[in-house]
Amino acid sequence: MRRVVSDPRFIVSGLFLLVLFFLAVFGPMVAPYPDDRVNAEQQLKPPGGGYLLGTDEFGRDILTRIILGARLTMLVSFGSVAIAAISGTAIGLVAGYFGGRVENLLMRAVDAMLSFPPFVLAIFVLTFMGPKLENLILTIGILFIPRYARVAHVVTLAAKEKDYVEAARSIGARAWRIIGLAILPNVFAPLIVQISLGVGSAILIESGLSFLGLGPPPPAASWGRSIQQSARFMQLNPHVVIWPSLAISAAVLAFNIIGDSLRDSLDPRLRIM
Amino acid sequence: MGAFLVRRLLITLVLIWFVTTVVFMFVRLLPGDPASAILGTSESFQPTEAQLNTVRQRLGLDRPLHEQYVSYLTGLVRGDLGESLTSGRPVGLDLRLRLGRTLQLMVPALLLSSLLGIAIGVLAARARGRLLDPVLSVIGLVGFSVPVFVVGNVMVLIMAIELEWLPSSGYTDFTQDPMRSLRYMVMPTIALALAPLAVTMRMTRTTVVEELGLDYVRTARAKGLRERIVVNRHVLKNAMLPILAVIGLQVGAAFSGSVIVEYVFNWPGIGRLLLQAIDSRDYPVIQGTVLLLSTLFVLVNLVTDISYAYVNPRLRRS
Repeated sequence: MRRVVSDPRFIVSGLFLLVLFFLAVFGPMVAPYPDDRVNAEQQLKPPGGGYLLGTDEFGRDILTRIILGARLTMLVSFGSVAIAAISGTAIGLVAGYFGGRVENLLMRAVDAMLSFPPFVLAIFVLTFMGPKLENLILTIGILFIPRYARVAHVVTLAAKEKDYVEAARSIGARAWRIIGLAILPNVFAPLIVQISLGVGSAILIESGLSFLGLGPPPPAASWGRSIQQSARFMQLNPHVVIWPSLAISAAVLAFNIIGDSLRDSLDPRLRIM
Repeated sequence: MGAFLVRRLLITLVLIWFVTTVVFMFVRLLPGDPASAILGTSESFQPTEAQLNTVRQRLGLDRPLHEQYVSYLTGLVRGDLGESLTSGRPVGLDLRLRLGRTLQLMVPALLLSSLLGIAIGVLAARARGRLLDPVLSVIGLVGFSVPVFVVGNVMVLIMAIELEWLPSSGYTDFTQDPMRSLRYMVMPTIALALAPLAVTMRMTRTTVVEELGLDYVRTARAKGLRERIVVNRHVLKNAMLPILAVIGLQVGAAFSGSVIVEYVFNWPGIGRLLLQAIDSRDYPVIQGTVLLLSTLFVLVNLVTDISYAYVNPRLRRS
């Protein structure tokens, strides 16, 4: 673990994520301009002159839009991963511990969820449910359940055979107690890795859906949607798409680097150094 | 192998039935009346009950649910996916046309990403301990972290707007004008290939590094075999299994990627059809597109599983 923490890639990504969290919480307080300030005289200004990153086609400060977008991105990605991690882990634990028919039923259901191409399914579902923030979080959250269920399932199967679980069972501990106190702690390490990588993929999916116009509707400051809306002006004003593109890419990259480093240190089987 | 095949085919049939049923349910049971969604409502226009009924009748939504379900399934078996609400053409016809164009991007993109991904992955594994390895690893991480529409936009900015080498978006039929068609293909193909390339490369590197530490590699080297032969003939053969699995996953993921790529480059494939159908609330087309993409996805998983079991006989039992 110590070697990972001193890895410069891990430090840079960690610092970047701290900034992102800070902006997600305090964004509206530190943003240079109020969000809905549409200014017809300041349209498509290049970076500089009071607008650090320039303005978009409505004359809105791009830096402000990006700062406000951080909250939306974090809300969707962490919200959906929380839904997926909690319900997926619960499914995996129950399936692995009880085995038999319960296991068969739950894990078949998880397999069945994987029979849809995830992004296409998300497009389909959001078309019918309407592109609202809650729907976006719920959809991505459900899409991600299988990966957590499978991890928890595999870990539970291995932990169930351990002596301390047998010992707990022989002194008459209840199933829920054994699952919670003896098995669940085994899931934490792989779970943290999957959460970090999952948040990265959730941001990718959210930005993709927003880019296609299926994210929360304007004036919500979504990075993906800003790129879609400004793409028409990109030929003469590349800055309108470059800054939000950088924001998305950097956020996903940071979560992936952290996930990778954590996997290398927490999951020795996968460590190849 | 026989029993495994039969079992796997049966599971696939069940999954396809499941997919078709879920799609059917979604269109009919989700909140919101499809008929009024199709006609659209605004302050100036409120569809009359008669208009709504006409649309419901046309879609068969006025009949009881189980009846709709039966005729939907029998239609599917006969290859009948209904008619588009906007063009009136059979949905199956459009799907076939559009799928061909999507494959025109997907097949070269996946060939490119698999071959290059394996080649660069081997290169990175053999460069372990030298500067090239961490450099390639960072490039790989970036490759699958950057959204595909960002890759597309950056390519348009550089190749089309700045250098004016390639058209920024559009499509020409290959049989009409092959050179023009190829020029339109270049950027979407590369954009679609980038993420799977990065993933394949990372997987190749990891497995090859793992294999290189095993005893048989030492034996092969001790025999005096050249490193190139050790890697290509012995190591890669053993590393192929996880690499194959990852490539299978990438084929599935490419269906999702192509929806965005086709949007960015205005490529009239199946993803573009889905988005157009969503815009115009063309339910039969939405339903048909999602159905086709999901069925293909299930079939890709089937092929991956079978080839996996073919390479590794131990897996056939479970």
